[in-house]
Order: sequence, then structure tokens, then C-alpha cells
Amino acid sequence: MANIKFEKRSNNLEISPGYYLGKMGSTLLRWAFLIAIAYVILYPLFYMLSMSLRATSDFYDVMVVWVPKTFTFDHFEFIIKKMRLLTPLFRTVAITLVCTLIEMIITSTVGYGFARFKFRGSNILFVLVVFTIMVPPQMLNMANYLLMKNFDFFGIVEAITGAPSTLNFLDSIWAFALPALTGQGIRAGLMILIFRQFYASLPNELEEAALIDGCGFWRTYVGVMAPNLSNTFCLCAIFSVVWYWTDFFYSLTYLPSKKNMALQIDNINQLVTNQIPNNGDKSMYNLAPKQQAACLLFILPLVIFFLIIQKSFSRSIENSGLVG
Amino acid sequence: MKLSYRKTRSIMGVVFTSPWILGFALFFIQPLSLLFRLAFTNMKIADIGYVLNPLESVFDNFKYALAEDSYFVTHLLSSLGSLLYEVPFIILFSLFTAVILNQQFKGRTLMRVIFFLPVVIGCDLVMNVIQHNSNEITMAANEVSMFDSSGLVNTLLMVGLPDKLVSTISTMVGSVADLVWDSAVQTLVFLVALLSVPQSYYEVATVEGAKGWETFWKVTFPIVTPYVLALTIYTIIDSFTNVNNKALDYIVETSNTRIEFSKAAAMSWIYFILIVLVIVIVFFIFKPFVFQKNEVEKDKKGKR
Repeated sequence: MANIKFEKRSNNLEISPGYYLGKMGSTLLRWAFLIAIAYVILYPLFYMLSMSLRATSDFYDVMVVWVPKTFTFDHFEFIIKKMRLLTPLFRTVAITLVCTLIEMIITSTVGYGFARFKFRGSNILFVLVVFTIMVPPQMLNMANYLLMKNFDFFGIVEAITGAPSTLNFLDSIWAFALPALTGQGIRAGLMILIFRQFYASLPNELEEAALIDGCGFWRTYVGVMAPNLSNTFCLCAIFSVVWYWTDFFYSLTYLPSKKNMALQIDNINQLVTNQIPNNGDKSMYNLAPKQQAACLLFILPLVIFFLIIQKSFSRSIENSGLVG
Repeated sequence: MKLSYRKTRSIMGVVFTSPWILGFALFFIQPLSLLFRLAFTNMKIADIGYVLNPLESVFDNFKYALAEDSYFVTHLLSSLGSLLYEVPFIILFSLFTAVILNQQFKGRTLMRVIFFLPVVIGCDLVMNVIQHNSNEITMAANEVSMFDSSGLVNTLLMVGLPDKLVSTISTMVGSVADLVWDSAVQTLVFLVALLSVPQSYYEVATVEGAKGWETFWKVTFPIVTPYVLALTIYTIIDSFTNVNNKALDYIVETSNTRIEFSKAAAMSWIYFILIVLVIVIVFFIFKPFVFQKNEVEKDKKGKR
């Protein structure tokens, strides 16, 4: 035995230069790949930064391609001070926070129900969850608008009172919170799918142990199963925050008169032009940097949120303490 | 009254999923039923609300979409065609990226942050503003433009490649950039899936003498197959429901610009049925390859 071991070791020593060469090669390849892709991803971000930080005069300078000659925060100052975006911003923050919180709780619960319990028709219902993802939201756009305008449950209200329902959820947070509360928020189907998949991959022993130890079904879910999915919660929180924050499609339908940030950003060209006095510089060299600055400010909270939450991605500890 | 354990479990299942069931009825069945009625009638905007006039023959709107409208079918086929190369690329690329980002190396955190930025900033809203500005300024001055491949095109033409090949390559290069941006969500989900693979599996593989590639192929890959299926379906749906999808764009245009709600509804249904067909086909192709933990456990029990 000892002999064989010794032989193996000496072999290893002989091939070590090749081994290190191979390792170096794979490191090189990895970095080549990572840097190439990072370039594609960072390009627009650098573009925005380069645009928004340069003075308007830099546009007339041939020497300036990427790095501005005169750095200036004027454009950001203009957006913050003159644009009066505080109300739309507050609306977006409220919708994002409330709906994300609701959506996380509801989709996780529903996903748990589908992953862990079998009941009559559960498979068909799950297929229907996938169905809800398949329908393009554009398809239901008009119908949803009519529904939110005169909110009704299959004509029950109309049948009782004799007139179309007067519950109008347009322009209110309810138009977003109500679907989220019933598992139909923005791409909630996808989140249910993700949660189901991850809850299903938890070992049965974990649940059984908790049940045998006297936890009820709810406590097993909240106290034992859900904490194991901290990564999944982070993942879905990122998705949810981003999708609500940048949602333009539903905002356009549900907020006809009260604008939120997404609607303002879509119209940023017009808004910036309006804020510049008539005798001011209305050329695009003055407008474009301001628009880029507005976009940067719009995504800045998302980037900060992402930087904070990505730290909590960790190797899961689901199997610790389980043997066999 | 005491219920059996099994009965309690099935009741709890309904309780856990009840919010979704309610929402499904309210915000899915209800609008969908209106859309269904629209497709088989002729909707006109009235003074208050709308009226649904009966059609001469029930399938008139569908006939119009498939036979008379000259653009709809073309757009449908082109969005089907782009699926063929988009979906495999996105899935393979995102799995590959996730595996790399899951390895131990210096600067990993920074790279993870960069690779997931598209999830955060890749919204069409911001991209549209950048694109719009970039186009305007490029037209006015010789500025850098987004994802410009004209340099590449010139080089390839100088080397002496045929025009057609060069144009194919340049569109591919252009779409690779887009596809990289589109695959960030998939990469993120794959990474979380990879993180959930128990470390002990890898320890066993190492002890048994598996090489890196074998470990990936025999341990990692089987465990992520359910996610491959789910993400393939997601990618297909994402491509179909994307704002930039031409067929969908055409439906929205028919409804909002041309104010032909009933015809748009019929097109929507055709489109939806197409999506379902594609998904069902993909599902049944993939299903046999999907690894299930429970099956292995059943096999073990059988052998005992």
C-alpha cells in the first residue's frame, strides 16, 4: 500500500509543470471570457456616465470621445433641483416596497403549497400557474383596464346593485397591490414557479422532523422550511423590486393621470425640454446629458439595493444536521 | 372531529394556494373571458362603455387574422424562427456563466455584480433613452454608438469574405450583445440553483476521483436539469412576451392604433395558442431528461 502511494506522489511531482500550465490556461480563458462579457454589459453604463458628466461644450470638442475634458455635476443638479420629480418618486417607492413585500409573502406561500402538498387538482392548478405566465400581459391590457375602472367580481356587484360597480382602482396603489395580494403581480407566476422548485428540493426529512416535533403546518413553513430558502428570497426580492421599479407597461394602464417615475423617464425628453427657458440652449447636446443623468438617477437606487442584497447570497446550509 | 393526516394535508394545500386561486379567477379568468367574447364578436366603443355586435360568421376575426391580414402570419413565423437560435444560446450561455461565477477565484464578487447588472438596469425604459440619444448624437457627430459593429464589417469585407456571410456575422454579433443582456435572469437563477447543490456531493465526487468535467456532467448537471427545463420555458415565454417581439407589437398596434379590438383579440388567441403549443412540445421533449430526486430514492427502496 505504502509503495503505491509513494509511486503516485512521484508521478504527481513529474507532471506538476503541465498541471500548473493547465491551471494557468484555464484561469486565462476564464478571465478572457469574463472580461469580454463584462465589456458588453458595462458599455451602456459607461456611456451614460460619460454623457452625463461632461459639459455641453465637450460635445463640440473632437478630442473628447469617452473621458470628458470638463467634469460637471450640473446635469444632475438640474434634474434634482428643477424637475420636481419628488411626487412621482414617492409613488414609485411606495408601489415598489408595498408590492414587493406582498408578492414575496404570497408567492412563497403559494409555491410552498404547490411543492409540499398534494390535493385533488393540484397538478392541474400548477399547470394553470404556468399558463398565467404564458399569456402576454399586452393581451389582457384593455380587459384589465376595464376591470380596474369598474372593479367587479364576475358581475356580482352589478347584479346586486343593478349598475356597473363604482369601485375605481385606477390611479391608486390598489391597482398594483390587489393583484400582488392574490398572486397575480408582475410575473408572479414565475416567482411561484421558482419557489415551488426550491421548496420541492428541500429534503422530506426536514419537514417530517418538524411535524413530528409538534410544529403545525404553518410553523413548519415559517419557522423551518422558509429560512432555508434565504437565497431564493433574495433572488425574488431583486426581481420583484426591479420589475416594479422599472414597470412601464402596467403603470401606463393603471396610472392614467398620476405619473410615477417610469412614466416620467419614458417622457424625459419632453420634460427636460419644458424645463429649459425659451431663450436657453435647447440643442440635443444640452438635452442628452440631462436625460442620461435622469436615467442614471433612476437606476441608482436599484444598483445600491442590488449591491446590498447580493452579499447575502451564500451557499445554502439546508443539509447541515441531516445524515443519510 | 379529527381528520386523517392525509386529508389535513390536502386541505392545507388548498389553504396555502388559496390566494392564488382567488387571484386566478379575478385577474386572469375574468379578463380572459372578456377577451374570449371579444374575439367572437365585433366590439365598438359606445358613448358609455362598449357594445359587442354579433358577427356574420363566428370565426370572421380569426379568418381575417390568418388569411386576409398580410403581416400577421409573417410576423408570427419570424418570431418563431428567432426562438430557434435565441433559446439554446441563452440557456447554454447562462449555465456556462453561472458555473464560472460559482467557481472560487479572486474578484468573483465583483464579476458577479457586473454580470447581474443587466437584471437591474436592463429595462427597456432606460435602454430606449440611451439608444435614442446615442442614435441622435451619432448622426450629428462622429461619436461612439451603441454596439457598433461597422468596424468589424469593414475588416471582414477587406479580408475578402462574401457580402452575405459578413452581413450574417454582423447581425449575429449585434444579437449576441442583446442575448447577453437577455440572459442575466437565467444566469442568476442558475447560480442560486448551483449554490443549493449540497457540498457533500462534490466531496464524494472528489474522494471517488472524479475530474472536473466528470463532476460537472455527473453531479452538477443532473441536479440543475429541472432548472434547465423551467428556464427554457421561461426563456421561450420571455421571448414571446417581450415588448420587442414583432408579432406582439403588431397585435398591440392593431388594438391601440387601428382600434380594431376584436381583430386584435382574435390575433391574441392565435398567438397564445401558438405559445402553448411550443411550450407543450418543448416540455415533452425535455421531460425524460429531467432528473428527479425522488426517483433515485424510489430506486433505492426497490433494491432493498
